[in-house]
Amino acid sequence: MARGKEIYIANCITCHQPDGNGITGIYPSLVRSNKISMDQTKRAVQLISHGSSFEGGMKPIHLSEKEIADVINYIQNSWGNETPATSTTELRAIINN
Amino acid sequence: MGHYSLKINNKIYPVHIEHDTPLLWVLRDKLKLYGTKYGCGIAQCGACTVHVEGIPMRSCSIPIDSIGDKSITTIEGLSKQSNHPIQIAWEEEDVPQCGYCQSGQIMSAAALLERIPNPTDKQIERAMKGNICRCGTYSRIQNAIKSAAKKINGLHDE
Amino acid sequence: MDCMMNRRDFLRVGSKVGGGLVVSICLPAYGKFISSNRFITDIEFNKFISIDTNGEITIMLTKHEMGQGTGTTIPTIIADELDADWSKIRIEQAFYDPKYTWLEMGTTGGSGSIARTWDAVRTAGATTKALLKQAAANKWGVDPIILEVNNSKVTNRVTNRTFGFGELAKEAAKISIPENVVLKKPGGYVYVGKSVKNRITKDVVSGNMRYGIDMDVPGMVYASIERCPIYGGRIKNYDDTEVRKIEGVIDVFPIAIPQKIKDSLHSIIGYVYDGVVIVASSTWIAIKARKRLKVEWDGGENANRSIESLNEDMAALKDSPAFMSMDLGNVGPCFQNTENKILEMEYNTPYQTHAVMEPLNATAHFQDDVCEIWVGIQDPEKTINNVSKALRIPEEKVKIHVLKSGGSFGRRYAADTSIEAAFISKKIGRPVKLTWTREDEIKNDHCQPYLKNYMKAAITPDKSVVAIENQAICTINYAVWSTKWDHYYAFPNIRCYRSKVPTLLQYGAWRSVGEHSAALSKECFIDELAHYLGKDPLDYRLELLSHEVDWGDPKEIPQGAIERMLARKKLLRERQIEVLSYIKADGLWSNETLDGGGKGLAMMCFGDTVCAEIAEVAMEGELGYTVDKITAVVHCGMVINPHFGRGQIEGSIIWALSAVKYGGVEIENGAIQRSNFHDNKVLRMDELPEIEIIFIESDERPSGLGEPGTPPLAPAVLNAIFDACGKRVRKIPVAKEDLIESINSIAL
Repeated sequence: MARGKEIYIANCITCHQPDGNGITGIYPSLVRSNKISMDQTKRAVQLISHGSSFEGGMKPIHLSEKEIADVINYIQNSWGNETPATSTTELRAIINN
Repeated sequence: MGHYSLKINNKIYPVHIEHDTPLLWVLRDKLKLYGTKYGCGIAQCGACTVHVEGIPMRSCSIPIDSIGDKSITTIEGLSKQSNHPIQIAWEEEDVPQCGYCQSGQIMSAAALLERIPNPTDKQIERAMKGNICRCGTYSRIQNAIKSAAKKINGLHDE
Repeated sequence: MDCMMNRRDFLRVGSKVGGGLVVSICLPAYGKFISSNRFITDIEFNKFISIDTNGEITIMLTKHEMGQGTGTTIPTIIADELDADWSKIRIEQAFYDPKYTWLEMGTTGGSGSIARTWDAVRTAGATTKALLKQAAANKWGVDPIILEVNNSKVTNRVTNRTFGFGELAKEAAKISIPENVVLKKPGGYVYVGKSVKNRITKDVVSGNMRYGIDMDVPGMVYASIERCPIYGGRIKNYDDTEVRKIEGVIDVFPIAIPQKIKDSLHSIIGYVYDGVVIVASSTWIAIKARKRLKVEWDGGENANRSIESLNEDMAALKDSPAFMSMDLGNVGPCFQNTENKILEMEYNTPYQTHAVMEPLNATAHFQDDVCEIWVGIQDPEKTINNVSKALRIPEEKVKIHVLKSGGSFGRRYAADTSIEAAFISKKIGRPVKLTWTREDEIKNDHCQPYLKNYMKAAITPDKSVVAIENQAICTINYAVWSTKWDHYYAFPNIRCYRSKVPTLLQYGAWRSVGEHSAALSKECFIDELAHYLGKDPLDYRLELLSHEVDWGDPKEIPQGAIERMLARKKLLRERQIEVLSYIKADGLWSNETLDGGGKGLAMMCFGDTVCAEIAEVAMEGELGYTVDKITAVVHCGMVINPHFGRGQIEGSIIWALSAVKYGGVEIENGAIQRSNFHDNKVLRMDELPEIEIIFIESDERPSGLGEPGTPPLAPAVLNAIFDACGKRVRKIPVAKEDLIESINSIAL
């Protein structure tokens, strides 16, 4: 979690904000009221490694697989989010699919 | 257009500007606080880093409308006489080459030492990887952070 | 070496207004440039060094400070010869004026700032000191021989009385320039050779450092330009209806220099993309408004081209007749002899972007027929020339203020931003600051040219390389290991061809220019030959350097080149041998194999500097390899400032490693497909290899350090990858796909 938090601060915090709520109308909130699904994890990995396909959307972030795993685990277990940790191995499987 | 009252470096700046203007361009074009640099406009390079409520943020990607009454610190306000331990360490290590990215680097580094007063090499890399330097002063930045940390923590070289 | 110039030819002494000493300097330009300089008829009074009656010394900086440090090092050299108190020295950027400076002083690049001004600036410093000494001698009525100078003071060794420089300045201004001054010898320096602190550091850390992009002219407006994404493309039509509705938009108009004027501009430095200008009340509004602009471009011939088609165009030239740039010995029979083994390889060094940290910009104010420009620029003289042609105003009406740059690496040679800003200001009649976005900077870059190099060797059955042939195909006539001046490895027969395809992207100078491209093919091919011959790559290089390359008929050597070029060739061969011998003697290069990794060696000359690098790689990580350590051994003569020197080599290594890992550009329909740091990646802090830098100790005159660290990096890494996994990659960037076969085979 500590590693993930540091990665979050260096790479995500400006847009998604310290409370994960993003900025209304511009940057989406990362806070989920329901349990986070596998699809959402996949989408997160996709966005971090390849960016959004929308014009003006999120750009890929220069992170290693391990850093992606760390930051996703941080996001998915902060601000009331609760999700079991994603391992780098699981993540690699997601990236390569 | 909107009227804003910005708290920057412990001073209040009234500004009349478009809602979506990024903080960076308010600082530079309106307030002429040129120490904060434009580098990429998409929060990828860190040249525009300022502190928002003490947290290092990329001012190029924060719309002025979302600032509210949060307090902002730019490189000009990091210390009274450019004597923040990080700034002193930067001078001692003579870090800059072209210097352009350095105010962003300094702001990220100062915030790191606030969070982690005695960071490991890995923690420094992690906190600083959002700041690009094309001159390649990375190792000097690392050294400066480590020496500033030592001073802050009262440790000294043998 | 003592200065050969007659001091009276280029130095002049005078009085400062209000009393004080002024020494003016004019540097002789080099070779062919002399005749092209139409401004200089006599030495101009330029206040190069001035000393106030209060002892304050002002040194005018005529070079552009862009991170290379000459803004500190050149004044350091002067202060040393002057025996001045460094803390009393003020450095002021010279306003560019053709009467005020001379070409070598007005242009910054080629890693030559110190190398080319070394004699002149030292002489200026020493002459100023001689004047002050004579002034003291006059005042005391003694022979100057009994005086000594240090720390801005002249001391009478007999009486121990002293005069500060300030007390002598008035008197010194009346004395004429001495015929001879003695320059310091190595060992006698006070500041040279020491890590004097960078003069910009204080301002950088306080946030007070001002670059071109920070320029502020009262009443200025802001501009952004939507440019044609294709080199050579033209504007067809545009619709600005939506843009004009935006509050804060002041004006919208096209910038499209007519072909006739375009043809009169410098093809590289003066190239300006067609575009639509948006002038607004703030940078943000101007940038944002571009999204509402509708533009149709006529991409021209490049619109249908891509990297793939460029590659095909280049490959198609392989067997076509080409310009023979070098023909030594008798190459033909060596390749015809069927007993000889022919080894042939293709190497590719692609286009590279700059991604300088400070996005490009210029501020201009056109009023009363005069165009003032504030810009960080490497070549103000050519910029003035091109602005004047583009705007059709006399050169005397263009004034350039050279501001500091946030990195340049060759990009700011170009006059494009100055021409654009001047054009806009002239059109709107107001001062304007033009800022390129990061996307503009990448999409409309002046890239490192593309080079495809075919290397061929004829090897006899008893394993001796009897001939090599090199066919360089490039998008520019570049230095690509293709003339005898580039060859140091003494093969008995050498033939080089060079041909050119029309470029797909605009090109320009990129840190270490042609040497970067040439080094990859040369140093990888030598490594391949060494392995084929079963020789150690370092020993093989030493063997090839053991005698000089035959120069052929001296009649064919241009006049003037005999003394200069042959002396340089000799120096560089010696320095290469010295560097390799050092590596060998110091055990930096060993035959032992690295567990799970490999070592590679490469070497290149840049200017008079030789740099060899040893790369250590491991076959792991997400790219399939990691570069763990780089050891650089550098011979550049004297090192003026070790801290800066190491910084330049380290920076060059990181620069080149970015190109190895993430370089090149993707191109579709003639347009660059990268736009910002997310897809035009560069090295970040956590990717740093361990870097060790060794300077060969030397008293010889200094040669440059800004670029020499770049060229050997890529071939050293590629050779190390081969050593580690047996796979030859003959291009950059190196991606996982390039290694996948070998990684799999290792896994088996």
